[in-house]
Amino acid sequence: MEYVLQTAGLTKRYRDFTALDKLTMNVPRGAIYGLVGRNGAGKTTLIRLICGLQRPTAGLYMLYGRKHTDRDISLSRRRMGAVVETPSIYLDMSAVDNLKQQYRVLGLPSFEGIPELLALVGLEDTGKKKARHFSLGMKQRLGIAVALAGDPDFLVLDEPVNGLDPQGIIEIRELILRLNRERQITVLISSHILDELSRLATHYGFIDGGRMVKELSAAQLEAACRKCVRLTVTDTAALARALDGMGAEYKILDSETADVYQKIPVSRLTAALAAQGCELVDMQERDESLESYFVSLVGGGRHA
Amino acid sequence: MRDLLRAGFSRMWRAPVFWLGVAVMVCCGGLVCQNAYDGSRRGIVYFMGDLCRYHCVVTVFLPAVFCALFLGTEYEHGTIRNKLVAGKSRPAVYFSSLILSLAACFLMIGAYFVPVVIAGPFVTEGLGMTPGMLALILGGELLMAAALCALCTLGSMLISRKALLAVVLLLAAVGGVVFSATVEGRLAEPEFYPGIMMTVDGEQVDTSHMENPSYVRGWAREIYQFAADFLPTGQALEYNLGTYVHPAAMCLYSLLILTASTAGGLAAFRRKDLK
Repeated sequence: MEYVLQTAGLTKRYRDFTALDKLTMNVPRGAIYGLVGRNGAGKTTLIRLICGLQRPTAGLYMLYGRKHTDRDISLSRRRMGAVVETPSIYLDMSAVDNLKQQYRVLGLPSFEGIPELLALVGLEDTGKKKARHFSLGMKQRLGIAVALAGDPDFLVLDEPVNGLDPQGIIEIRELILRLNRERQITVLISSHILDELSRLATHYGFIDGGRMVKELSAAQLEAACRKCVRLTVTDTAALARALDGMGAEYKILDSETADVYQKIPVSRLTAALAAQGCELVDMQERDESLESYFVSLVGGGRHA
Repeated sequence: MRDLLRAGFSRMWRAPVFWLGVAVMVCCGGLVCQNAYDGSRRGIVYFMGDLCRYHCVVTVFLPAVFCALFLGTEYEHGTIRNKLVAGKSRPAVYFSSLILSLAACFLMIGAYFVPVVIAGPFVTEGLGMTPGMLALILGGELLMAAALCALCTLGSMLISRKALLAVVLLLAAVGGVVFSATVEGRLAEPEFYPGIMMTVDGEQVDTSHMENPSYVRGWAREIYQFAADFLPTGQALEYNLGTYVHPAAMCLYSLLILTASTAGGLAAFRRKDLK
């Protein structure tokens, strides 16, 4: 698999505080990588490091196979765009002028891509309105447009839906999905709004205390989080025989409980159990969400 | 860096703070010419060399205001991150900021000379100094402005909060002028009191050789003179008042400040953790 970003033992310390602790992660090309963690887990620090805003204390990261210490790392940086925390835009300029400014910074020869970029983020009708008077969602979209100015194929978004209203959240989500599907842009999104992230991400990295707790794909996460019916019976051996007879997929947890991963007719099950001399004590539908998976991974002491 | 300069100049042309500085300096030049005209009608003789020096104290505040409001915006709006994320190196970002502040400051000084060059010849009587000395003074003024720009750029690149930056730069400029004015005042003390004749108990006393206790002597005078020559604010006052005694050394000091502050600022900016 080809990776856009890889980190190995990445560490960042601020005096006595370790914000990132030997973090290792891999962002595959074409993925929407959701970086999940509590406030203070190290998400923004990681993003600041890979954007070149700060230098790691130890470890390394590679962008498109180039180490951050390589002299030509700027070539890899030119292939990425980022919105770190707040959108980086000149508030006293219009959307068009902000994009022109970024085009000049990038040394692009003409401004002809600007109308298309504004249409992509839904800001084509803002005219001469200064960014200062934009809504938070519009500023966020303009920040993304500025990040897209160099036609990058890796976009880094730090908490892109923070503070947005529901409509703004939907707009940003659809924009990210469109960028990923239509332009094949790899996206790294940090967020602690897990429900929102679960609608986007194809890969997840769970970070806590500056460490990568677990990295997995959406398919793996779905398998880990999938819906099941938890049964409590007097004898799971009898239950297993009954479920085998019904061709159901299940997992025995202990001598009295088991998870069944499909819907089963209750009357048939109870009849089959009765035939085995087993009694059904309890039956609960379980739906492990990304949130509960995250809590089970890092513990629920603090809010995500 | 060419791209950064292109972007920076494009923003500068539309920055109100730049045009405000230009307007202030044009007004300064106009007022100086008006003052010279009024003086000439009262029989006071002004020279072009004098008019070329009278902007220096105002010039002290130009880089402070420009850097605080123009360069400070890069941190306030977070746009400095766009440059680094786009792969621009930190030295390129630093030098482009320095060149921008130098260009803005020189253009504002140039604005002062517009009315001076146009109206000055009609209200003055010649240069008042040799062309060589005038060139040295003008060069010294520009180097003094460059040293101030370098110091203010250093502050702008290391202080992330615009409000704090504005307070620091303006307080430093005001403090520097006050300090240098104090130094100039001590250096301007006469060695002896002016000669007066007094009658004390019926006897006539001549005080013309009475020593002034406030006069700075010996090594202390050398330190005071060095402070006046070395500090850009001291140089500004010396140029403005025409009390400069070591104009060539002042140019060298400005070059030293320009080089040292840029090297130090760049080293610190390379290590700075940006948010």
